[in-house]
Amino acid sequence: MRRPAPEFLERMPTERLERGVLRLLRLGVVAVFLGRAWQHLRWDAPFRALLWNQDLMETPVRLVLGMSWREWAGSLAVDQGITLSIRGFGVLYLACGLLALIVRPGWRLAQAVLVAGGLGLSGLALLYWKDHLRHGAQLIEYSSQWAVVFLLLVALHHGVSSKGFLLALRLAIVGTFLGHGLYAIGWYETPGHYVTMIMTATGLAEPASVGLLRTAGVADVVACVLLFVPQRQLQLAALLYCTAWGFLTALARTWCHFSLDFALASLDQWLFETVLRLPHGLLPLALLGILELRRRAATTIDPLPSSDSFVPASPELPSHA
Amino acid sequence: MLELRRRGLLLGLLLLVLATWPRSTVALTEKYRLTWRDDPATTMVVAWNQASGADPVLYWDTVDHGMDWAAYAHSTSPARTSTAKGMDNRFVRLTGLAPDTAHYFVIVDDEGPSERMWFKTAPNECAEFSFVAGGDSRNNRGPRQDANVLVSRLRPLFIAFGGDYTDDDTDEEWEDWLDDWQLTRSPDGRMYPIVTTRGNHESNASVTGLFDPPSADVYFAFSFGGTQLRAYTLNSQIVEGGSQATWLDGDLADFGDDHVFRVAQYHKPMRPHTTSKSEGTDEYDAWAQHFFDHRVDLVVECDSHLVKRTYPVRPFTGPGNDEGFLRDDENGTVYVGEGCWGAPLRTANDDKDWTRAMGSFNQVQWVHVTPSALEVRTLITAGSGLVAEVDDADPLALPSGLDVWDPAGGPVVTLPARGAADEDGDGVPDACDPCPVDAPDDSDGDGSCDSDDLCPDSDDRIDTDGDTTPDGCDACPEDELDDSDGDGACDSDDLCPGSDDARDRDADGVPDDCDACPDDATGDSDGDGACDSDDACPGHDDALDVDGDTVADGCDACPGFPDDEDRDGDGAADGCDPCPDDAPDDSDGDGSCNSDDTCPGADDTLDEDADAVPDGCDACPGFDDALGPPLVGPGSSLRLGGTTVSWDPVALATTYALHRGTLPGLALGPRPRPHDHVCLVTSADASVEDLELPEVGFYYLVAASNPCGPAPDGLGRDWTGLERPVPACP
Repeated sequence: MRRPAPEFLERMPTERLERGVLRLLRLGVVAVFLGRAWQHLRWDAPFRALLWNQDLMETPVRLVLGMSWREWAGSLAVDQGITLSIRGFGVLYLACGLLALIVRPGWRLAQAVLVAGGLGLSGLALLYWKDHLRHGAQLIEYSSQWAVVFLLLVALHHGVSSKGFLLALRLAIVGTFLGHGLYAIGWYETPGHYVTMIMTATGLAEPASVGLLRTAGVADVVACVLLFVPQRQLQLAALLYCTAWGFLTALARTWCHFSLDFALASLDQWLFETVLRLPHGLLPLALLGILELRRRAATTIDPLPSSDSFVPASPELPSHA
Repeated sequence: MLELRRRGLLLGLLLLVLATWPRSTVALTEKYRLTWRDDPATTMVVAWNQASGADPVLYWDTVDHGMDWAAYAHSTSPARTSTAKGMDNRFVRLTGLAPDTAHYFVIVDDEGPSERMWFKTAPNECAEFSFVAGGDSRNNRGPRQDANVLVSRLRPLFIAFGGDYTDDDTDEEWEDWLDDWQLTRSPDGRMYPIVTTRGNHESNASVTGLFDPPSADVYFAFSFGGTQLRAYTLNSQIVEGGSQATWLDGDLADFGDDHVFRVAQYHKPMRPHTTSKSEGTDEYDAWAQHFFDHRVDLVVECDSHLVKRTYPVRPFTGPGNDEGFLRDDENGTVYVGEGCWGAPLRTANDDKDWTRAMGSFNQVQWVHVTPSALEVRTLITAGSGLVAEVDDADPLALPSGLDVWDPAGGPVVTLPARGAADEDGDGVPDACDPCPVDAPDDSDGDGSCDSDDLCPDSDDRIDTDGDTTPDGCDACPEDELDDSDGDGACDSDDLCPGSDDARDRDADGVPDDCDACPDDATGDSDGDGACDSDDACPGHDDALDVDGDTVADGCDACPGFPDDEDRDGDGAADGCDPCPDDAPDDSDGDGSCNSDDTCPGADDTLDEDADAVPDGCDACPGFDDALGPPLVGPGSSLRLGGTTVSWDPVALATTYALHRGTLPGLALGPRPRPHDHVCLVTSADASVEDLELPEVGFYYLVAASNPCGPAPDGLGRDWTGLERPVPACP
């Protein structure tokens, strides 16, 4: 007989499960903000994809700053200003990461900061999209990372049980995995580092790694489809896959690039890449939890307050009762 | 209504203008570029966008026929088309080209010809050439155009472009980029092949669709100058390890190690020199050790939009390393970059222990390749319009106006050949050494290695007589057989070919065997064919003997007459003897042979008195000898009248001598009696004045004479016949 949910979820008390879902979201937000904060404070972000775009910026630069494009693009002061602005966003994301740890439903200012951070992440996704040849997959791949911020805020205020929340959560997951999948199956040119990570992690040769990646890509796409198939077991299977693959691909960043010879340097460069991708696994896991909560609500509370919501037991969550 | 008419009129005029506008005679092919898929010495890919027109054919030749496309010897149609980036890209793949040779071409379609352009194939043996390396030409079009113009001035063999051509890889951006690329073409139409690298701002498909590289994965290698340079293009946007690294290692082992120099280009740097860029871990892991193991000399990286050059480094994770590299001047690899072919600048702020220099400006790397070294210069592209063109005959000369980056450590990074076999130790690897066992190679500069030099210190190529012995070492540089008779004299200088010039008995400078008169120093001075010593008639032609007397005319005592007829025996042939019967002929030299001489001993021609008796024999000079002396004297016609003594003239007498004596003196006694008369005077007249008559008795005696003598009855005898004195007259 098939289990209705993974065993660890089945054994988890409902209250704990409810708290767990929220903590997953919170952890996701903290992770993505801290990861991005590390990136922005320590490394680079694709702000130049916009600010160095001659087609888009030449006229504004001339009109607003009175600078020719040659002056703008050849100015190290401009370059340093851009870097400084990246650092500024790093500070914002750091603040967001810290606030996300403690934010409560009534903390409007904190939530406003988180919204700003979330918008920053959304803009960052656009910049990455712009910087990666406007590949649609690149744009949607980051959906989990910026959506988790808003999902957390919504969850804080409205719980996680609404259809809209579930749809948004599913879309965020689908965006990420469909984006991954399209690259992995070669719809877009598969990034070399995808294959490299698999080769490093598995020890497989390149052809086998490519084959594995193609398989994973197909699995990503299938999982995305299954998330919308009204068959609970299929959804659970898809979410388990997404959770596992999401964490694995996030961990792969550090795992595959860590070097004892350059321990700190490799952690410096790659750990944040893992951290900011934790939502790729956390969100499917959260959806698993939510689905389990919905299943319990459907079987233990009869009738449910509504067909698409449940009463949160966690004191963190607002009650709809 | 009026407005409609006006518009109609304007429309009509517009149509008229369009209908009569001269059609361009140049087809709309555009965005030309050259690439390679195979051996750069013998192949070339010519690519363009077929904006309009159909059936394009590329006409080409090693001879420049200008726009006369029909005169080009070869024609090739596109082998491939591609619609990459919204363009109708055509690719003509030329093969079988001549190495190191200019090839001229015109593209002709049904609308007309393109401009005439040309390219030069790579050498297939070691040579001196240059290439330009760089990348990142996005988002700063002005500097991009500067760099392109600089290429047109540097006239390199090829361009190694490190990726990131455009910002977003869009059709419009690529069209602009390819339009700007036309600035790399030199004013004389020469184009330069681009060896393309893929960056992170374009896809493999873009690169393959526009540049037709030999590998769909955009990693490959070309050799230049035979085994002089192996140039690797790697793709940092696909899997760096795996198949690519395996290929790299294999190619380096199979081919690269045999080359004198190895260079590589790829986009993403292993260790960016700006703090915001993450480290190229995958590139480092996949390639750095291979580079070191196979002695890759130079690596060109891009991506960061700044400038850097490192000391030679090797991957090393032990103590002393900085970001996984350690300086190793002997065995390391030099990394340069990092791409700024017209891109916004990043701050260079992440130097390493092994960084030689870094900066931030738009630049390209200009690499000089010689048989013995690579020289790398970083060129500032701003102001490229002021740079003069490099002369193809001297491709490594720095043109005027060139702005070479000169950081601490100097403007040039020199990478000598290393590791390659160098048997003669002259610093030029054997693979590129024209004289691998000679140091110096060719000290006399004649193109022959010293060990093979036929004539050290002289030009072996100069062999005037073609006898394979260079003139400098040829005893007889103008004689193919040198001294064929072995007499020490070159044939061309040999006085007597086939004989010993030293034998010259008469020391006349003409060897005996070639001396017509080996015993005559003067030879045949009269040129009559008879040596002087044998010459019957020196100074004359012995053969000329008109009188046939066997005596040459020049020496014939009597030309025309037999010399042996000499009646008088005076040695002069009778025919030429004025006096054939006289010996001597004319002893008194008066022109009369002796036998005919009227007056021997005197000149017969002198006859003052014209009496036919020459003066020398004239008994009566001044008087006709035939008359003789007066026949008689005055006799007794003598008379004295006062002081005048006179007498009767005597016939034939011309002179009278008047004597006077005294009577006392006329002593008596036996005869002859003494006389004391003396000659008073001579006179032609028959009267004389005697003013000193003596006091005593006296007498006169008159003697008549003429040149023939005195009258017979002169004073010499008295009337008795006895002699009496005749004193001389005064």
